[in-house]
Amino acid sequence: MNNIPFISIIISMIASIAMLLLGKKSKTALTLAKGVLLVVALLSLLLIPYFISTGGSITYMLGHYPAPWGNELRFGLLESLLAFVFCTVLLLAIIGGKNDIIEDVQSRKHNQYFALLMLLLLSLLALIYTNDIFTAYVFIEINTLASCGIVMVKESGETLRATIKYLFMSLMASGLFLISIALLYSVTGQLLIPSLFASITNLLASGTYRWPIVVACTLMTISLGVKSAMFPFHTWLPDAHGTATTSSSSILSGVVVKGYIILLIKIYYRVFGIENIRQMGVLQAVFWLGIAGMIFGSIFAIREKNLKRMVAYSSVAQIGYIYAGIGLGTYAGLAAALFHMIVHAYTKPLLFTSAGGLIAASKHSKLIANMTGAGRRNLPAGIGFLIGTLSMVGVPLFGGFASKVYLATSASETGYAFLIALALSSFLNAIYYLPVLFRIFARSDADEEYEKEEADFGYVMSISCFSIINILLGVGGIYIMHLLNQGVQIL
Amino acid sequence: MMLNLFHNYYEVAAVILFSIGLLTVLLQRNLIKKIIGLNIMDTSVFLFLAAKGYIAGRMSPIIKDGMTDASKYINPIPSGLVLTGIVVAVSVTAFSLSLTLRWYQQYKTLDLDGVVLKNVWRGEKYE
Repeated sequence: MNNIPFISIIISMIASIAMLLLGKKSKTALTLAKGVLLVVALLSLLLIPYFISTGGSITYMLGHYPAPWGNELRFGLLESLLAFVFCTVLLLAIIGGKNDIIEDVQSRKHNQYFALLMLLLLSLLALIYTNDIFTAYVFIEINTLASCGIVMVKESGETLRATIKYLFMSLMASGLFLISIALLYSVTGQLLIPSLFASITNLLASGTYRWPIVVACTLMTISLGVKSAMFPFHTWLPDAHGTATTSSSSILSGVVVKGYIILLIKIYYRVFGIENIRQMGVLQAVFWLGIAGMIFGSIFAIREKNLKRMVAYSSVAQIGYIYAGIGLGTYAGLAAALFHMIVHAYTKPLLFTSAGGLIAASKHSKLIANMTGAGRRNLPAGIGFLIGTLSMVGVPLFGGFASKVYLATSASETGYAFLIALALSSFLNAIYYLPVLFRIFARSDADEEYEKEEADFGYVMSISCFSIINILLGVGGIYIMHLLNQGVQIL
Repeated sequence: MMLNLFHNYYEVAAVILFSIGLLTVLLQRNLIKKIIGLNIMDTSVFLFLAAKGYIAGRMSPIIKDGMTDASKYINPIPSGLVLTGIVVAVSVTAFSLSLTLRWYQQYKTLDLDGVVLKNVWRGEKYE
C-alpha cells in the first residue's frame, strides 16, 4: 500500500522513456500508454477502500532521509480518488481521440506524443502526491512543457501561436511560483509542507514576517491561477484548448488545469492554513474572481463562432465555479468544488471528443454555422454532445446538476452572491449550448454531399463511457460527495 | 528601513532584477527578448537563494579534512535548489528557443504581437 503512489510515478516515468526507444512502432506505443494508464488507475483504485476503512493518510519517505531533510509523498482518500479520476479521463481521452491523433500528428511523431502524455501523467501524479513544495515546482515545469508539447504536436500556424502564448504565460507564472518559494524559504527555512505549516503558523501568531508570507501567498495564487486559467488570467486557454488535437484538448481542460487547482488547494489548506488565508484576504479575492469567471466565461462563449473555442471558453466558466467553491473557505464548499472538478473532468473531455467527431463530420470546419445536421451524420458524437450539454446546463439526472446542487447548498449560508451567479451562469450556458444542439440535430438539405463516417469502436466506447460516468455521477453523486467530505477532513 | 535595504543588498538586487525580468517578459514584443527576460527572472531567484544560503566566513558544504561540524559550512539546501532551478531553466529555455525557431520559419519575424494582430485582422482566427 505504501508504495503505490511511488510505483505509479516510476511506471509512468519508465513508460515515457520506453516510448521514445520504441522507434516507429506507434501501435505498440498506444497499447503501452493504455496499459500504463489502466495499471495506474487500478493501483489508485486499490488505495480507495483501504483509506475508507482506515481513514487517515500515509506519509511515504523517499530515500531514507527523515523529515525536515528528506523528500516525502503524502496521500489519503482524496489523493487516491483524484489519481483514479485523472487516469481514467486520460485513458478515455486517448481512446476517443485516436483517429484525430492519426490525422493531426505526423506519423513519425506518434511515439513522442505518447511519451509526452506519460510525462504529463507523471507530473500530475507527482503534483497530487507530493509533500514538498520545491518538488511541486519542478513537476509544475514538467507539466507545463509536456502540455505545451501536446498542443504543439499538431503542427499548424494557429497551434504555434497558441503554444507560444501558453508557454510565455505559464513560464512567467512559474517564475512567480519560484520566487514565492524563495520568499517562504527565506522566512521559514523549510520546504516540506508540514514543517512549513508549523513554521508559518508560529510566525503569523507572533506577528513577525507577516508581509513576506502574504506576498508569497498572493504570488502563489496568481501563479497557479494563470496556469489553471482563473478568470482574468484565462486568455491563453481558448487558443490552446481550441486549436489542439481532440485528445489534447480533452486532456488539457479535463485534467491538466485541475492538477494546478489541487496543488493550490493543498497550498491553502496544508501550507498556510485556511484561517490565515482568510485573514490575508486572498480567499475573498479568489471567491470574487471565481464569480467573475462564472459570468464572463459564459459571456465570452456566447460570442464565439468556433465550436472548440466555445467549449474552451465554457471551461473558463466552470473553473470559475471551482474557484468560487474554494473561495467559500469551508470544508463543505471545498468538497462541492472538488465534486464539480470531478464532474467537469468527465464532462469536458466528452464535449471535446464529441466536438472532434462533429468537426470531422462537417468537412473539418470548426465553425458552428457549418455544422447543420452533423449530429445526425455522426450519431455517437451527436449523442455525446447532447449528454455533455445537458450536464453543463444542469439538467437533473446528469452530473452537472448534482454538482450545482452541492455548490448551492454549501454556499447557502454565505450570502446570495454565489447563488445568483450560479443561476445566471446556468442560464448563459443554456444560451450558447442549446443553439448548437438544435443545429447539429437539424435536418439538412445537403446531407447527401457528406460521406458517411465509419463508426469507430474506440470512439463509441469512449463517448459511452464518459456519458455513463456522467449519469452515474448525477444519480449517485451523494456517494462520491460522502468520500470527498471524508477526504477533505484529513487534507 | 533604509538601513535594512542597504544591509540586504543582495536581496534588493535580486528583487530589482526579478522586476526587470518580469517587465521584459510582459512588455517586449520580440520573442528572443522575452526569453532573455525569463532567464533574468530565474537568475534573480537564484541570486536570492544563493544569498540566503551564504553565511559569512564559512566554507562551501563539501566535507574537507574529515571535518563534520556543521557550523563550519554554509547552508547547502539553497545551493541544491539553485542547481535544480538551473536545470529547469535550461530545459525551459531550450524548449522556448526551439519554438522561436519554428515561429521564425513560419512567419519570418520574431515579433509576437505583429503576427497575432495581423491574423486577427484577417479573420484567420476563425478558420
